[in-house]
Amino acid sequence: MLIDMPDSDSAAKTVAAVEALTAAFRPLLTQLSPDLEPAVILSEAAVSGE
Amino acid sequence: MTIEQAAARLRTREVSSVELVQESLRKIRELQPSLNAFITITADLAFDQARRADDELARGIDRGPLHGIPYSLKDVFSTKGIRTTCGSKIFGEYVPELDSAVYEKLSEAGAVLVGKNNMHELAYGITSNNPHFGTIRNPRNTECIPGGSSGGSAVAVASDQVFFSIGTDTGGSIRLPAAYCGCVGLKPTSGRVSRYGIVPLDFSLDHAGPLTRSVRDAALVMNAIAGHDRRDDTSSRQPVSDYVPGDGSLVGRRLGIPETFFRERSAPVVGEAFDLALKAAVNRGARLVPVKVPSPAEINIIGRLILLVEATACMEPYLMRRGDFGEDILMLLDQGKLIPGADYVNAQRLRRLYQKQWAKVWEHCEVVLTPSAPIEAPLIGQTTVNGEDVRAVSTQFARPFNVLGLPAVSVPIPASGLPVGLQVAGKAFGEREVIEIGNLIFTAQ
Repeated sequence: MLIDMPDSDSAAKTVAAVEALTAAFRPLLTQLSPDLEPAVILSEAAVSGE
Repeated sequence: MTIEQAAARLRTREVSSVELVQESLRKIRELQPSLNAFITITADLAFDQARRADDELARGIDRGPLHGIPYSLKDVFSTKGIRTTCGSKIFGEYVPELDSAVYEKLSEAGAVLVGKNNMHELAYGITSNNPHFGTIRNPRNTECIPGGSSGGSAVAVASDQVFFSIGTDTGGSIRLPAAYCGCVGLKPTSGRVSRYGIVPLDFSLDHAGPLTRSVRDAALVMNAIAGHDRRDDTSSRQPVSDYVPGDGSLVGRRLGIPETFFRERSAPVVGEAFDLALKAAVNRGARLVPVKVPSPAEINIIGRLILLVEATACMEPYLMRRGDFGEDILMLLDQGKLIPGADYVNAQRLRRLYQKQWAKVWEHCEVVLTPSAPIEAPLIGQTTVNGEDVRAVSTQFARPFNVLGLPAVSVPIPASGLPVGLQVAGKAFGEREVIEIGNLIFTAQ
């Protein structure tokens, strides 16, 4: 079980909110191309182990 | 009184830093019962710092415009030996063993810390209706929220309790309370101000910046807190400008006005105030340039998805303490667990796409102007606006600039009712232009 909620009403609301957001998000995926990397990058400091 | 005015009076000995602190603490004591802008008041520390500031000025040691000026920090900035609660029960007894970079820099600049501000729990919301430290109220109408999450910071500045405060902004949390309370709030470019020592809400969307009573004051604070910090991996090595605007003018300045999204989603009272501010800018010689901006609606979706996941990751060690979170926070943290990993990665990839697209906007204009929020401050306890979640409605104009990492300032503009903010956003590391044009619009009213 991913989440441990005390009542089913809260669980239903949580799931519904996520479903609504991901449903709005999925159509955006058509814009992706293979060469597009995440904005989260390995910074110079991280690569050099600082 | 602004920082500039107080700084001038400190140097002519019309007032001392100790007297400024006394007045600040008097105002806090007067307003704390009704507005609740503070969690911790650091009176002893403030008097120590103020006495030192006065002593240094008397000996000719001048640390600059913030020397001897009382200010506050949102209670997410670590302060060694001083409780840093993040407005939460989770961190309710957390006493850091280090200072945040922002606090270090402000101390070096001679500023005087009078307290740490109340806020939305964990900086994860916009109402500042805090279940652990009490509701923060809007000084312009105490039935309304001040906005958040840096609600206490905006209230403290707008009601003259401090000269400035430092907030954090993950989806509008500096600009939104500034707009709702009627003060200035600046979110810098990602990496411009060190996040070292800030208890994080989100790894890739958090920014720190000033809330002030004038745009020039925001520039003075930025001069003190901007710059590279090797302790923050995301900290930029870009050179820091002098952000204080000169005597520029709006004549011929190209101000981008998005053709879609912002104006059409604004409530009439906000739209009218925005239009009047634009008219004032045009009367001062500005050129309004209609611009097509890559979809703010889609960027909002991406930003909300990233925030849900990253905030849950930040809070992972504490998720078993369900009873210690407020109800709204718990629901968001639970939502973050349910977002598929592939969606998170692809949201970050899409973010990169929109950053590239937005970089082209600046070929057509120097800055983009929008209302800071589509509505005035909602009532305390209000959860929806025309059937939509009040959080999503309030943040939709500000959040895109967190996702993009671009600088944006909210400046108060004349309005018929509650305060309304105008947002000036610019290219990466374009704080100087954003501040300059923000100041010209601020002073043109």
